[in-house]
Amino acid sequence: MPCPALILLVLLVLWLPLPVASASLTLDIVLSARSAPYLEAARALRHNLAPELFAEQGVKTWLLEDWLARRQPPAGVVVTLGTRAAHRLVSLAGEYKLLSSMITASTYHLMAGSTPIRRHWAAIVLDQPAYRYVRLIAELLPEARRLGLLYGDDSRRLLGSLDAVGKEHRLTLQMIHVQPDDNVAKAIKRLVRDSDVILALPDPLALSPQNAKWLLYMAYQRGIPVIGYSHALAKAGALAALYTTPQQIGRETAEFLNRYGEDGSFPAGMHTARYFKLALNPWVARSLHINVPEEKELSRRLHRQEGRHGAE
Amino acid sequence: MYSGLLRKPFFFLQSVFLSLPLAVSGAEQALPLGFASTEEDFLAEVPLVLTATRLRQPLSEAPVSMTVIDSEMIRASGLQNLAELLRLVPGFQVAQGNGNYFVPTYHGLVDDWPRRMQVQVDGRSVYLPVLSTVDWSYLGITLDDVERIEVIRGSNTPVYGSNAFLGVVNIITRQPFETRGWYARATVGALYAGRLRKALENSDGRALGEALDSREAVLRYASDLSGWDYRATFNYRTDDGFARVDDSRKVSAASFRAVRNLSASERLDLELGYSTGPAGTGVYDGDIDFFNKPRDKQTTVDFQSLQWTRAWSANNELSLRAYHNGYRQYDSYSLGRISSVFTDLGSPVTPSQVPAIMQGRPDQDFLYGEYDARAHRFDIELQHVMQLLPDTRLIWGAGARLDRLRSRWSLARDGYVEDKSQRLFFNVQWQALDALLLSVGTMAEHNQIIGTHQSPRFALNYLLDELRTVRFSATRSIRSPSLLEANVKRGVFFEDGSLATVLRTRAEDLREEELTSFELGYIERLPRWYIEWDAKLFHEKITGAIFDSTDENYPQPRVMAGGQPIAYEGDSPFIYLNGVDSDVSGLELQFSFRPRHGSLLRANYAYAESRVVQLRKINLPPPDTEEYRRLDEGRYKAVPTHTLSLLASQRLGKGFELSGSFYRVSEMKWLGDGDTLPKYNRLDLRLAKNFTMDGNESHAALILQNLLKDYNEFNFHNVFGQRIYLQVALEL
Repeated sequence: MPCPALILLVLLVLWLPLPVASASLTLDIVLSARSAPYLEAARALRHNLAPELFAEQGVKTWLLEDWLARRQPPAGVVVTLGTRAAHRLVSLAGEYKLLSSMITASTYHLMAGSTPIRRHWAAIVLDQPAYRYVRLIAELLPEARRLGLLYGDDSRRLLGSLDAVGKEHRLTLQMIHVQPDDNVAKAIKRLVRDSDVILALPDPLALSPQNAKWLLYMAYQRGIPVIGYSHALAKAGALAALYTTPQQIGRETAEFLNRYGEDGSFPAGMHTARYFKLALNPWVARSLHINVPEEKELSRRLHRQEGRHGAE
Repeated sequence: MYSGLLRKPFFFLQSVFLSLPLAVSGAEQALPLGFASTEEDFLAEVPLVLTATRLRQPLSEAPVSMTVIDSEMIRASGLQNLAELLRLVPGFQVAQGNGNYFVPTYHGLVDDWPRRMQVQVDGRSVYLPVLSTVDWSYLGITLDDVERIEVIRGSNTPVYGSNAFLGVVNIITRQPFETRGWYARATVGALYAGRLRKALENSDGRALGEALDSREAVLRYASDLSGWDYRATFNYRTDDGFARVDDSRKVSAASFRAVRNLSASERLDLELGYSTGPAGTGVYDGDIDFFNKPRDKQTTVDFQSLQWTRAWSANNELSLRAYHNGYRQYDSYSLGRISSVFTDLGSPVTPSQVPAIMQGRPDQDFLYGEYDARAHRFDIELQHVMQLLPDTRLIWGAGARLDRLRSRWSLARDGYVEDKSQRLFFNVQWQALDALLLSVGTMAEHNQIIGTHQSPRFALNYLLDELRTVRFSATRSIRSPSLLEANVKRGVFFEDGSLATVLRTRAEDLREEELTSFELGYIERLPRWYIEWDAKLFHEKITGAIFDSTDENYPQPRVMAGGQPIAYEGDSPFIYLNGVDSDVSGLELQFSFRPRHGSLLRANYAYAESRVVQLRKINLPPPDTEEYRRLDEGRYKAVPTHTLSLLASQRLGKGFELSGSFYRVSEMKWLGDGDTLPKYNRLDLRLAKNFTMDGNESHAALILQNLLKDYNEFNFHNVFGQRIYLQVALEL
């Protein structure tokens, strides 16, 4: 007579979706550098991996150089964190699945355009989708009509979707294109004059962190609020910012891998992070006479609009 | 293998990772990703831009009434001098003492030297202890570099110290990165349009050149170098001033400002400036003042300022500022031989008689130098703005200052006189209830002139709703006599440097001025209509204001000729004493309409009722020992009853912009060399065409000032006619 517990176990195994490989998948996490953001993301990634799919001993964290120098062939799934590791690995041959996380959309497109596309390659980017910014603007500044943007070749990609989503909220784009030799300060001056609200987009040409300070200062002088893409921008003087933290992108990456572990799905292409945070600068809001809700409340509203709860 | 990587200590991850610099620098160098953003852009620090001192406090929360004049208003006004912009502030009157010095005052009651107002440029005080005033022609900055002017209407000694007795003017210049590239402006003007018309009608080239008697050129370059954003501005200005008055000026100025972010939270701000040139002074044709002959004085001003700021958040900022202002004025000259001086004064004396009347001195030159002086101000101040508790904001600071003044001619002694002062101040704003904001602050100052004194303030802002606020404030202020006022002994000198006669001195018991003021304000915003307006009822009581009186029994060396005293102007010297008491009450209104799309309307009005008593003469022979006069009656209206200013501007399309301003001041007695002037109306117009080429903004403008009747500024000598300016500004 078979042991009932054994029967139960067999039934359970048959009932569960079949894992892709044996119970422990191997995973290499490759860091671009040994600095806080990557370590933070890697820690969140490990923390959120389903232990029944990724056994502790099968998950290894590497620094890019060490990973490249090792002799054994790579394991089944390799996750890179950051641009440097992503770029290095995407051009290597290999049958393993590659997930480039914690990069930007523009890096993804650049790599996708310059290397032969790998078969099993996906990316999770830090960029916020256009609709998320527009919803935030609609919540904070319902009367704004002219959405100002400074864009370079790099941030051009977002314009189409911003324009489309903006129209739904009666926002028209005021766009100023910045080219390599342009005087950014003058472009900012024009932008500030013709906008009700300005969306700062990351672009090494148009708005590096160095010249973001110009935008913040000049916009403030004219009473124009700025919406930013990083926590630092909100702290420095933007009215609000949306951003995905390394911890959140680590979690997002883990969930992508868990789904793969569960049903073998590995959707290729670029994915934007579903997890994001909101930062408000109440002092700037007060000084500009803008009534803003509590940060938590507004964050909850934005998440609810995406069909999710909580600000995690 | 690097599996041990994550077992490394994570102490640095405990804090918000964003506060750590990223260590991926150099990572992208080998990659063809130069023009793509990377995670670094999302994670990098951005220098804190809008910190406590840069964030403007909403008017509804401020414990004082304020007016802001921004660059758009400056441009629209068409005004050519910084001081004149104060016409756009309710309760301010501005006059030109002559063509090259300005007398702005809050609530009238002013002589040639407005000394109760603090003026700062980027936080550096430009008050001159040597003149007890501000020399607006030698500030070393141009209108083109001014971002905005914040004016605190009323006393603000609890924050700015003794000089902020009646009003604070904060001139804030543009950040160097705002003005990158080249900028040039040329302005040519005719201070009397009639002369220009005549010259044009007669096609007289020479007369045309003479009619165009106001010229200004500005050249600026701004860029960045080794992490510093910098701006250098050069300015040359020549101006003939009023007709019939020797008041021309020829001022060259250079200023430099550089700002550098040392890190995301720290920045350095360096400012340097120099201005120099001659300015005409002395009195007027047909009315030569013997001691104040028409002549040029030479002024040189320099300043150096360095500020370090560290900001931890938008509401926690520490700054340390040190600066030096230098001031040098050359103005010494001979009044002529003693014998001819007395002869000219109507008491004929031959050279051989001079020893008899001058204690044995032979005939020689009388020397004089009204403005000749050298002065320095060294100042250091620490200020900390912080959120003490969630509902309590604290500003505190401490500073020390050294004022030095040397002037043989004004102090009758060699070497420097000095005043070392220290100050400590705090202001607490406590959100007692959601709708109630309480502010308490005080400044304790110690100087060598009057010792330790304190200026406290209490204010209460009650928010009726989000858009309407009522404010009440009570302030007690002290103004210490300035270094000049406390030490002055100006006179006519013999060639060996000894004093022949005293023309101006000070009372032995000169003490501080005291002010008690109360105000009740109402502030309302109507954002839907782009309107903001506020009203304030005020009462100010000043006791012991320092003005000129004459001492009728001053122990002058008597000049005797033939057994009779010879009278000349030095007999009864002017004396600084606490001789004026005033009570001023009134109402001020400020209205602003600013829709976003190129329209602007500002209206300011002040109504004042005053009771002013001035002690004119002391030590009179009995039975009257003192002579008073009331300055609030009849022809002595030291505080004008009505002051009005309007500014409207509209963009017309195709780059055209039309603006107009109107000023009206009712009858006012300007003290000192001033006169009682009747009410005047003034209308200015400006038509500009703006060009935008490759993002560069340039403009050409025609400015017409005083399209109505001629009127007088400060006294009857200064006739302000119709003026016309043509201005071209190019940004490259």
